[in-house]
Amino acid sequence: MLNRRLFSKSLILSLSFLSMGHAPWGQWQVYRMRHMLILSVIEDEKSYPFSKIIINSLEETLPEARARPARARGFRRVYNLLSTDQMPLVVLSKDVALSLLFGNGVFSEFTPINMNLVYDFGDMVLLARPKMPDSHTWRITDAIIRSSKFDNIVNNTEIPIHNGSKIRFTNLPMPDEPKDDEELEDSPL
Amino acid sequence: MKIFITILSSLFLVVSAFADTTDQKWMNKVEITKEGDHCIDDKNCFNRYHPAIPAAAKANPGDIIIIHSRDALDSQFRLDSIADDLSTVDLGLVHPMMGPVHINGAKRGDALEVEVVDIIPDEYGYTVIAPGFGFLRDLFPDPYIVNWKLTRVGAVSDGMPGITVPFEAFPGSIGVLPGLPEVKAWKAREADLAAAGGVVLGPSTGGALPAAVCGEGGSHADDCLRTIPPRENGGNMDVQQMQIGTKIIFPCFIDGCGLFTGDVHYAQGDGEVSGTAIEMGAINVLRTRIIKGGGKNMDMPVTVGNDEIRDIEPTRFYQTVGIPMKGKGEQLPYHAYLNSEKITNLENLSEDLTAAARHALIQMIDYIVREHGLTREQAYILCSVAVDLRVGQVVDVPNFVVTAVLNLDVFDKYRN
Repeated sequence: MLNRRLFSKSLILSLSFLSMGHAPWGQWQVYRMRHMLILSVIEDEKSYPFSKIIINSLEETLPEARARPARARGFRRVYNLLSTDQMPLVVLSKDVALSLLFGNGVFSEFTPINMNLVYDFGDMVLLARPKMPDSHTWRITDAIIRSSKFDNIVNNTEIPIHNGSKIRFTNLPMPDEPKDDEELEDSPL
Repeated sequence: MKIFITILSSLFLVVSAFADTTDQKWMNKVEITKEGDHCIDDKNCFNRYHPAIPAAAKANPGDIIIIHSRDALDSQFRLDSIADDLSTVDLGLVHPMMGPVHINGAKRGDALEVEVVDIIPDEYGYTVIAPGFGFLRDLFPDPYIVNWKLTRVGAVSDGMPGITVPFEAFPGSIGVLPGLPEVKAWKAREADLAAAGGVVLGPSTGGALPAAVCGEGGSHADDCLRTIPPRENGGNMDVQQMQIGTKIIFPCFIDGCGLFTGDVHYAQGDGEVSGTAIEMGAINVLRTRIIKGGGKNMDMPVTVGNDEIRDIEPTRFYQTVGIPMKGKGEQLPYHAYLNSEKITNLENLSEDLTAAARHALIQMIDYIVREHGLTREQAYILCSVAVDLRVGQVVDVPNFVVTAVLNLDVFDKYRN
């Protein structure tokens, strides 16, 4: 059922489009294009260790994503990377995630960023930029569920669930993969 | 008794007068210090080149110019940094330069001699393998970092056990600002190369400083040159022979020259193969002299020195020899823009120093892994900071020779 090669290709394409428009150093994109990077931050102490736990499970259930951790030094860099769509995925403590969404608390210096929930782990959450294709968040959510390593926590936050994840939670089939480069580039926020 | 006390007091005064000479001064110092954590916080810091960048200070020839500089990646790493941090680094911040310093009396067409009087290292330095960058970027696609503890005795790291890299500091980037004709000409030639598929970074406003000149909506945003390539004005030359005691001579393109420096390297091999040396913040002590009209006949900066070039030579070494060999069907990253099937299908290239350097370097990495027990990533890092790529000959067609020379002094097992 799963066309893994197509997913891998479209994931790489989508990540490259998300990042190449803003990052100044084209060569740097080689790594970001090869891997699904999950952002975390030193200032949110639990986020980096937890990102590695998620990635370990994705290596078994979604190996084609070649997921890797990407640790930012501070919240300012998290804001910059997400708000410029250089990275689409982030793991944060729930209270920090809410601050990011509403531009308060540790993110009070910054404007709110539109993020969607991919999976609620309890204290921690995995968030994605809304422009991430539904098929991708469906696959990530599906892989996390299939790993059987995490409790299925009901989302009790004000964070909207990403459409792809919502489809997976309701046991509906995966949405179509993005068809071509233009569709990925033009996908709305 | 009174006479005795008087004599004693006089003696004390005489002794104390000669006990400390810190009040004896001859230097006229011009100092540019750092402000804030990063270049963006610092009015004396910039990361693009354009003649409209205002001078941070003025100095006379002969003044001692003291410049506090940041590392190449603008302080984004720390002693506890790890490889997973590299993917989040902001490359728009490369390279933070301090200055420019207007040299009084210097005119366009003059040359500026800059003596490297001293370099005082920070306590921290790093060397990284940055994905997609470096001479063997196709063979080392994943991020890696070595954090170094620095003293003037040597650089050591928990990530490089048994190794001490000697202090051989030099400014990785040092130069003068281009004039408007140079900006126009260099931008055009680089655009031509980019159009042909060359690896060129055109002007970009992301992270560009000073923002008022080079940032989004800045007065010259489309014309601010990136700092990655060295050009006729110097800049990111990464030439390790520019050691303390040498003099670097630049052609001046604007009145006052616009001297800048930064991106100081604690140590580096000829080649800087991983893309980074031991990168550090530092205090640079410089002194200048104007050579009237001397810039008119210069194509590029030159360096003059004495025994500095000998002092950075190893006392023992291991050398590999490279010729332009590669795998049949393999396209080396440097040839990609040539889009040449003819080259791709060859195993032996003709008169190609780049391929020969790669051949020598890969053999050196294999040797270090095999004989000294380092991982491939550690070996690549060691090559970046302590292996010199050298041209053997450029006549014995088709096989020009490049060698890789490892300074064996870096291994603690060979030293007292």
